[in-house]
Amino acid sequence: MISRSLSEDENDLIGFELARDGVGLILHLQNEVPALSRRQIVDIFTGKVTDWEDVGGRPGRITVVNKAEGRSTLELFLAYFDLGVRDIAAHVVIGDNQQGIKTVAANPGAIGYVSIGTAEFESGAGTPIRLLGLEGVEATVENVKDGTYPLARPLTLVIRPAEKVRLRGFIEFARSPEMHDTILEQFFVPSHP
Amino acid sequence: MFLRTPDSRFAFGLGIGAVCVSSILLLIFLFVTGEALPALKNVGLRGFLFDDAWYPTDESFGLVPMLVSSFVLSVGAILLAGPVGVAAAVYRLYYAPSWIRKPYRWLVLLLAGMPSVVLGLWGLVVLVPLIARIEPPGTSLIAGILVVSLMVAPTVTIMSESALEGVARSSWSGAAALGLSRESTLWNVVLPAARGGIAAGILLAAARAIGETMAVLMVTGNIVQMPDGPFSAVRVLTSNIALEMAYATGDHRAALFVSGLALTILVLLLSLTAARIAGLKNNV
Repeated sequence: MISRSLSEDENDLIGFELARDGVGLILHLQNEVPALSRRQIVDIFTGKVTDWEDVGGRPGRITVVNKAEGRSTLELFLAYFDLGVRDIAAHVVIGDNQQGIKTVAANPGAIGYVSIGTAEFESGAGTPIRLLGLEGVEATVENVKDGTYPLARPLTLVIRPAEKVRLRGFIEFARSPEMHDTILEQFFVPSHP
Repeated sequence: MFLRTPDSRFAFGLGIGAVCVSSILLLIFLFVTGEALPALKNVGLRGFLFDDAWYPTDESFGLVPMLVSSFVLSVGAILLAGPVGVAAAVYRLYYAPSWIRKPYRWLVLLLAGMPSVVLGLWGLVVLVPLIARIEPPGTSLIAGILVVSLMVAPTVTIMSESALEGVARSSWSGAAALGLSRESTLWNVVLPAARGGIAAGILLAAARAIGETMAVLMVTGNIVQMPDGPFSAVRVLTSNIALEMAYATGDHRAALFVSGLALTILVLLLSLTAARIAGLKNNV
């Protein structure tokens, strides 16, 4: 199971997409910044912009919340914004999504990025965070589902070609509606109806 | 037959237990060293000591800022928790009104048993926003020191209490016979007599402080840099392992075992130093 698609040099394996997960930027609920452009997001995360006033918000220092090295959310984020690990000027480094959400919820000047499904669930449960749209597309599970949200990744089941026949039943089951509840429980979007 | 008496059989059993425990410790040490070896070979000790930063996925493995952070954080926590912990023990045993003593003891025991994530969560949602009013974002070395000192103070108190209670009653009667006040008996007779046990308590607390992971991870911000003040964000060695181990592969994973090894050696050095200090004092 990998949280990305197979790369071209991994053609000795076959992947089956089970679900999709979006990565969304989150802010504290009190942060009134309406939207951020790609350029502004890059400037914030590289430390060129350090005050919300400079990107159309109320004055206040920006706290950049970054993911720890090795996490695929970080890789996806860096690849999407075309950045290297050394370019990010973080103030806080976090491990999993929950920790990111708690950190941002406790700091009105913070900006971070986490799995959209988890963030949607938490903000629905009253945690003071909000998801920020990306390139004019709202960060919702709905938009991850129909593919319009740009920063998303497939969750892929990977097998060796030789095992294809033997595992057919299992793969069919993993992609069947019977698995939807399990996938939704993890706040992901099932890829197959 | 050397196992003839019940006592010798008991001693034999105890011996086996002791060998088991110490060999498990040895095996853990060997395992960590073995897992760290590939990184030590590929990166070399020089890399870990002199690389300018920690970007393990980009071939940069500087560990020193995290070593220093671990050290500063636990020393800071002990400087706070040591005096407070000992003072709490002295107050409860000799000064507190009798109706306070029992509930107070329960309170200390409760705090000692508090899971570290709970304290970390409290630190993140209460303490960090308070510190952020002084200097945003609030996740900082000082937040870590405060949370950890709260966590280890009960250890100091409990150990000090048993050391103080172990001081012979005759010392008290002798001091009373000499006309010493309660205060000067404490300072000049009881506390010096109990210093071995108190030092052991502080040492135990220091070991816990340096090994603490979850609570520290939640409140210190985890940026790999030299601490340059109480408000700078730091990453300690334990947090580094917890943050990155889940998804680390290859040299990155081995490098995390190197941080584990460094941590073990740091604790070992601390214990040896503390044991030496305690030993010197007891021989006076």
